[in-house]
Amino acid sequence: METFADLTFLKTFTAGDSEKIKKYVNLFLNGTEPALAAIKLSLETSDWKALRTAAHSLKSQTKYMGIARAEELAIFIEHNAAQVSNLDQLPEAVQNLENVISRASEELRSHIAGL
Amino acid sequence: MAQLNKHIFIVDDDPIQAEMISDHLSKMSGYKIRVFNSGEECLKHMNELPGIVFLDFYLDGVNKDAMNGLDVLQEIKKISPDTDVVMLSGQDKIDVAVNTMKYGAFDYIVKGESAFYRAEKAVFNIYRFKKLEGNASKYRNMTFLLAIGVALLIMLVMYLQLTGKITDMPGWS
Repeated sequence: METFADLTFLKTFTAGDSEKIKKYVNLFLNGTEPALAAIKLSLETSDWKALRTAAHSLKSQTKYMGIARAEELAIFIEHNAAQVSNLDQLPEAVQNLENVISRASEELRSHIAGL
Repeated sequence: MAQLNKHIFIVDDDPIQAEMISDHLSKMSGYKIRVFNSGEECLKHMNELPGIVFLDFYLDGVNKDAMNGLDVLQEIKKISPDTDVVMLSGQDKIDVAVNTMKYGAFDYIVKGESAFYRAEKAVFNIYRFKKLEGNASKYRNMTFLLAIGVALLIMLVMYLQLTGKITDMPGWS
């Protein structure tokens, strides 16, 4: 089965402290909805500077949660919004980003429930 | 030598990043750490005169109207020139790094898995630099006082010779 999140880094960083892992994962889960909303709104309004900033913010969070596919998509969106290039590909990238984060969030919820 | 200021501020609108740096630096003993999610909040507390501020470059990810990192950096240096600022950014771009140094940042750290260890290293480097600076200043003051002492001694001897209180100095020709 395909997995989306990899908590290897977080486990090393916290030296396996499950309370800290829960704290960071919950911060991520609480932050993704407003972050994705900001990305979608800036795409709808063609506010490329805001889209670049919103994608940039999400990038490091996805990195720490080991969501490599979401990090790649965030980098793609950030880069193209900054360059105002490949604009026709941005809606699909944003949709994919939302799907990947949704699947990864399910995994993360079930992971911390088992801690 | 003055006590080293072990008060650290972390300013980042990404709560995970801020919390992780704070947790990592908290492992180093003796540091008082405060986290702020905006530059405006940090500036309100600059009267606490932190020794080091870790400052995110992009602070407008959540609030579009928030002050950006470079503006906050300049304000911090105006309020407290002795506070060392370490910039944090998700972008590994040399021009961004150079720009932050131009405005007085001590260091520039790219966010990522190694950022926490680099932050720890930056704290170590800043305090080592401050200690060296303190020692250099102490030696400068000692040299200055020694020079004044020698000058006063020479003037005293000349005065005594001119007033005839001493006519011969053993070893002086």
